[in-house]
Amino acid sequence: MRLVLDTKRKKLFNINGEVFKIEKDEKIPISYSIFSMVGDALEKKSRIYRIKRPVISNKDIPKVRFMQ
Amino acid sequence: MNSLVLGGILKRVYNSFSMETFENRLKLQKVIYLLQCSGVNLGYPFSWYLHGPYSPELTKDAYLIEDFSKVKKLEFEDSEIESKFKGFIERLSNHKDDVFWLEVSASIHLLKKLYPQKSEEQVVDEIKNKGVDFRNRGDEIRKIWNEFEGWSF
Repeated sequence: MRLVLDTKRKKLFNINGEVFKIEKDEKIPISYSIFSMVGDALEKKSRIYRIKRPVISNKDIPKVRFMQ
Repeated sequence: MNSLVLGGILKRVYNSFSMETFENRLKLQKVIYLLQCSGVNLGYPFSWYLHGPYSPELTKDAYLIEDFSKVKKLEFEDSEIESKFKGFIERLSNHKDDVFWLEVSASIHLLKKLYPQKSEEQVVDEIKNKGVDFRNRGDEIRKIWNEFEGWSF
């Protein structure tokens, strides 16, 4: 098992020109595993604790249409 | 973003895809991360995990794609974004099934964004320390770094 501590990350960081806000430390509940990285982490015999979730606005998601 | 849209975009990159294997789930994460970095924002937030950038929201949406073979391809209404997407597909074409390349390039990008003060060598070391699969592949990681710098982010 590998413990990932992410305590050195800055509270704000920038991806793709957007500034993301770190909300808080978060543990992933085991019950969430069916749809989450925990499943993948277990698959690799590793688990992840103390991840931090960035926040992103959905307002700039571009519109799409079916291809002809 | 929703699973229909995600599937329609993903179908432009992969003709067939399923979430059944770890390798495919890794490909999904890194391709969408790199796509967003290329200026096509699908709204997925990414954090640093064991295998580099990862978005649980993206995983959830991808699991909701029921039958990828029936998914219809989508294009972006905005011609500038569509053009960016086409350029991305073209640049990615040689790497889209190379999980090592995808994981290393996405990791380089996120680490450089998170720690702009770190040198190339420090970022390479960070990636090498991700696990035994990376430990002895410093030269390959540097090669990907050089190749990846040609991408216009």
